Amino acid sequence: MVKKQYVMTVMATNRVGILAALATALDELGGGFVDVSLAIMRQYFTIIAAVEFPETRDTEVIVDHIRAVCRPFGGDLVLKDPANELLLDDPEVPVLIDNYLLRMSGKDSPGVLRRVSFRMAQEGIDITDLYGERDDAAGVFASCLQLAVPRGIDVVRLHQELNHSLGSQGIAFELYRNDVLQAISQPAPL
Amino acid sequence: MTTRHAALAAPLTWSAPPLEVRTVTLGINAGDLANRNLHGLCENLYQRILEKAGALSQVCSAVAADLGVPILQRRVTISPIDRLSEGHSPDDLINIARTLDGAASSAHLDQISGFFVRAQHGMSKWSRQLIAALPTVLAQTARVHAAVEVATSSAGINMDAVDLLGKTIRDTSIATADRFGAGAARLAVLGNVPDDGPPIAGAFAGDGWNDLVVFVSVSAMGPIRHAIEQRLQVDPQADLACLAGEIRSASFQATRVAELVGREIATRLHADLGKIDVSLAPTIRPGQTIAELLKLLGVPAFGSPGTTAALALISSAIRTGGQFASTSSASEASILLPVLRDAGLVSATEAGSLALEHLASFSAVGGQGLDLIPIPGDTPAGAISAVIADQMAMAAINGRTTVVRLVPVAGRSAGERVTFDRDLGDAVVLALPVSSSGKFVMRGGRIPTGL
Repeated sequence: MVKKQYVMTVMATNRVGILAALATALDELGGGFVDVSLAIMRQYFTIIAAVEFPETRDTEVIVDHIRAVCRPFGGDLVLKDPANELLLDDPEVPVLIDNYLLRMSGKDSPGVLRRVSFRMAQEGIDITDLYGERDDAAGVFASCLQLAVPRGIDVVRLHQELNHSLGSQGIAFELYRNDVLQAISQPAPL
Repeated sequence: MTTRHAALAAPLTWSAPPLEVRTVTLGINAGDLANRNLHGLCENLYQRILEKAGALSQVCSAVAADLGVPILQRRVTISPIDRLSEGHSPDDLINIARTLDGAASSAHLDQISGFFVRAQHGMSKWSRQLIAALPTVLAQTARVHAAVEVATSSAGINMDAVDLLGKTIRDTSIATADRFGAGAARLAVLGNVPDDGPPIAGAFAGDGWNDLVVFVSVSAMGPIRHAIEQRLQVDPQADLACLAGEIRSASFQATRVAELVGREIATRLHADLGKIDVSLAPTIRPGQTIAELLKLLGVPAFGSPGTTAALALISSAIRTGGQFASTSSASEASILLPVLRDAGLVSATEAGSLALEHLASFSAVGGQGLDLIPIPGDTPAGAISAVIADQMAMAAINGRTTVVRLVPVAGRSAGERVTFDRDLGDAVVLALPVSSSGKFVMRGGRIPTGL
């Protein structure tokens, strides 16, 4: 049977059984998860997943059924068909990417993430993962950003620039290459 | 499928260890350059070093920037000069040394080794000539390091060489008296030099390698300190087994980074990756001292009771962590206690908690001999030889690699302070018990080990 893939997000109050309900709903529609990522923030559960259903299954049926299942949890559903998205053409020469981890930490002040993400966008650096925490008692924060950096960008200069421009506000930046972090984290052959 | 790094799960508490590489050493085979014509030999040596190592400094800088891991020193070791210089005069050896020094300068290297003699069994005419030339060689160069192996567990101790080296060290100090005898800091007396590298203190990496080999030495000092601090923050009452586990993990991390850096440099230089040496050693970076590390473990002053046990704990944990991390890890993991490069050790000697006898005894638990020890400038050659003999005896019997670098500080007595250059730093001259042991050494011959 030919399958069609969608990308789905569900945000709902975090209660035991929500994932079971969601998985059951997909099963009832003849579909299933392909790739899935789940996160819990405060009392909310959120999931983003690539899902697939029989090509003949109508999109409205899928949405209505999942919404019905999620209703007891107060869930919001968004279902997107990647085929409908306008994407940039792939570059003729593939862009080589190096992955880095950027950790920023220090005194909490508004606008830090905005400035950093804006600077990354200027350089064409994709932020592929992000997690941040704030310690209200201490008034400090820390965020880690996973970066996909096109080869050729001077990351040392960028790192220095970030420390220079935001260091006066008590923000420090640490930059690590992914292969270095992987090397020190696991014993797999290099 | 990618694994989400731990940092992304707990950014507030996560922190990476300080990672750095202490030295990158390029081993260059120059065995084919032997030439009775001095000009031809020097020209070929110079060209070989620049051809093979001309890009080393630049490659190290590029890799350090790419990986975000600083590389503190760049070194080259070439095939032993005594094999290339047979038939040459003592003056020729000086010219060869100057050639090496010039090549090292042109290639922006921190040091170059090649004046290395194996004399554990005996000394050939050419070996003796080379050793005799060392005071002038070291006085007239800045980057050339020299080493003589005088003992192994199988051969025993060549006491003729030990006797000769006591005089050579003293003469080197006199020849470099204008620099407080600093030339002697570049002359190492060695025992049990590992055949398969990594090159230690001026020695050759050993035979059986490819023509071009990259060796990496990493100091686990920074990562170990970071790991212990992190653990004690979470659990101030952590027991020693727990802290040994942290040291093992830190050693693992330091070794892995060394391998990553070494592989990258070797690839870019079209060289092989040799051994990775993970040791506890102060680097040229200011503020790194083993004394502070021991304080974290609960030893209040370096040299006070408990120091030997703490060093044993660190040494065994480093070794197991390093060997798990990499198949290229050297079989030994040492603790280097170079007084001239470690401000904490200098403070301990000033405070009276650390004396030469303590340093000598640490060899039994992973210490690598007596490294860069400032001694009074008027120490008799016989006393220097006797100290070397004691260390070599421990090396030969225990089967451990040992380095002795004694620096008679010209014009200074025990307890006086001396300031060397940036590489060696400040120190207080240590007292050396002077006795009539010189007579024992002067008997010469060989001390067999029976092993």
